[in-house]
Amino acid sequence: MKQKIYFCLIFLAVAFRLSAQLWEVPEDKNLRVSPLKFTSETVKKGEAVFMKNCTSCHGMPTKGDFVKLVPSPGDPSTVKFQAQTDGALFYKIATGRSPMPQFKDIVSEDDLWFVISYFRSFNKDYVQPAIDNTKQYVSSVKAKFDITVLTNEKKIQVIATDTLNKPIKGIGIALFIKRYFGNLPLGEERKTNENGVALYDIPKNILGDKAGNVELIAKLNSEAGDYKKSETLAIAIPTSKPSLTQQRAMWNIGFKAPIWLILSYSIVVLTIWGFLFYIVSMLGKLRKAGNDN
Amino acid sequence: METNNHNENITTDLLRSVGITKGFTVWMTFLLIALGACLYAYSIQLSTGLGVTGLRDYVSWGMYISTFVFFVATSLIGMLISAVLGLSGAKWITPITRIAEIIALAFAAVAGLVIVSDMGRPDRLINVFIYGRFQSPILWDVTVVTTYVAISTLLLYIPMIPDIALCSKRLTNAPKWQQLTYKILSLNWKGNAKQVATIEMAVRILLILIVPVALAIHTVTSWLFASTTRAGWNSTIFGPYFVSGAFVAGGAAVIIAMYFFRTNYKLHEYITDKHFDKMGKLLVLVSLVYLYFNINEFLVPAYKLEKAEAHHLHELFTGKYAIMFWLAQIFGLILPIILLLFKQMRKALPMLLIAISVFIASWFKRYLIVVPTQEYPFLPVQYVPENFIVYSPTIIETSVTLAAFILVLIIITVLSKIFPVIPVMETIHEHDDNK
Ligand code: HEC
Repeated sequence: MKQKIYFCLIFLAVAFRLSAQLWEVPEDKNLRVSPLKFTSETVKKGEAVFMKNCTSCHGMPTKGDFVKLVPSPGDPSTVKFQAQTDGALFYKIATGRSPMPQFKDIVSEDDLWFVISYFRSFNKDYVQPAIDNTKQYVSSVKAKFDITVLTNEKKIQVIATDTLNKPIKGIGIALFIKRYFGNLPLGEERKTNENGVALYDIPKNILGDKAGNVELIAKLNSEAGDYKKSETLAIAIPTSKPSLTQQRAMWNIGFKAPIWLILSYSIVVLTIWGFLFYIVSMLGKLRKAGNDN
Repeated sequence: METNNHNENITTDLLRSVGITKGFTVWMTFLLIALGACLYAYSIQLSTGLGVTGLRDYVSWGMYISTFVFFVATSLIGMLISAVLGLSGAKWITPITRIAEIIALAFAAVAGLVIVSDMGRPDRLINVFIYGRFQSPILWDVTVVTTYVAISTLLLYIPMIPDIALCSKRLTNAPKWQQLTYKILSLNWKGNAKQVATIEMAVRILLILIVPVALAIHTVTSWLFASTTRAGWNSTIFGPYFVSGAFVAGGAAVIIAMYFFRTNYKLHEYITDKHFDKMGKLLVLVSLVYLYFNINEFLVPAYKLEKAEAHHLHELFTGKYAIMFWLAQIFGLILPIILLLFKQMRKALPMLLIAISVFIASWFKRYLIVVPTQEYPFLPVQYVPENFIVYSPTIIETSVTLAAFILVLIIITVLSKIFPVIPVMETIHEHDDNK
């Protein structure tokens, strides 16, 4: 009996490990194709995005110098990446899986496609599938967001209007707060009502600058288009923590050394060298004194 | 009349070594060729980078920094002999003060260059000054080494002015450039009362000034290590530990130089057995002080045996570095102390052999202070290559280090050939005083 339990446990553990290694991509996402034609220009843009966000783990493509993490990040030029569809790559980069970060809120969708086009430049056999032009963009010229705070309701309000200042109804808008690494989503995406208004709760525990300011970013649902608007609003907890390098400190640059240190160093050096220059001046006198007799 | 004759003899004796001889030319040619070969090694390092050395991420301070510490240490002897003994009124030091000062200047000046040889991009040296931080012991070290070189130069030069004037008067057969050098450097010396007073004043200030600066130079050098929390460096007595060790290395250097100057320049009458005897006693004294600090430095951490310290001490006492460690301690400290207690050992030749052994052991001692602890890092790196963990100096690195030693020899040789190595006027005065 006991043995059987052990057996089951081992079986479960192995099964779990296997499933843990598989990174499944939903079928529709797997088949997704790029809305952009891959050109040398997109490759170049993709390279820039990769250098900024990805090399730290994935190394330089073709060099195999990725960081030794578990699971392994792998080299984007290898079969491991190239055997996957564009849609699968897009999905994985966008959603991430620890320790691979989730990039969908950090870089734009276009940037993700640029990176994929950069990956494909290492694959001579790659032929881009027909591009996806089924998308109906609400062109960025037409949409306009207005981000304001409704102090009484403790809400943030985003109003979407078109060029004629008519509210746009029923589009999805996601709201983010800009942080050091990427953007922090503020709850779920909201759809605008008939007045073009979407409301979001003001978060209670977000730290801002001295005045409580943070940068908010309202993003149009990616299915609808590629438009975003950012606005700096005082909705966060004011925090006044001077950065560690603002004050004079031992760890700071030379000019921001503690006063006592600069003073004692300078006084000692000036005193000693003062004496030395005095002695050199004595040599001048010595020379003159030679003419005395 | 008799005194005058005697003074004349002293002058002739002591000036005899000045001037370019055949021996000098041969010796200098040899040194310059050797230096050239070593500089070729340096040119490889310069164009290829520090990768040609054994220095890697773990051990980033190797032979070069060990040699730097060793040179700074050796140079401290100038202060001990001229200032500490001089100000306390010891008369016997007169014939060796200049030797000690020449050694101090040569080692201190080249120590600065050794630091440059440890830089992958010496063309960026200027950044040390532009971006130097008052908070960093490295800036203090640069400051204090420069200051010490300046003081040592003045302390060598100013008491020598009367002798330079003498050279200018006597050595009329010397080449033009040499005569011109004497003329310029003698600063119109006539030996009148005012000039004598000025020199006495200047030397007195320098002798007082050099004591704190010399202590500072080696204490700050020790802080380059002691201001970290690394096992083997994390110690509050590193300053005095370094300073006392410095006198041991420097004392040995002076004894070696005394021996060679005495034999080559035929100075037996001036550098006598008495001087070797005194230097022997001095070496025992400073060695005992250094032994005391060694016991402190090893016994206290060995009693506590904190993890990293334990590893470090095991490596030194019984591990990879045990042979080097025990040889350095026995030949650099214990044997010399015991041997030099015997009067027969404090004669010129035995002293020379002991001093050479101490000198070499002192270099290894610095190596043992600098290198082994770095092979045991705070944060072990994953997948480190073997040659990151074990430091072994390359031939190129060794050649560049040798270049530093050769440069020191060149400086000492040139200085001792252009100027009398024993103060002439002072010897005469002392002789007169004794009368
Ligand atoms: C923090 C390190 C890290 C960064 C930064 C990072 N990745 Fe990854 N990446 C990983 C790891 C680890 C994996 C493997 C994850 C797994 O298999 O669960 C991975 C996997 C992937 C995969 C899937 C590979 C496969 O085998 O299916 C893709 C595609 C990818 N990364 C692209 C990117 C791109 C593009 C960027 C930059 C925008 C990036 N990564 C930035 C660590 C990183």
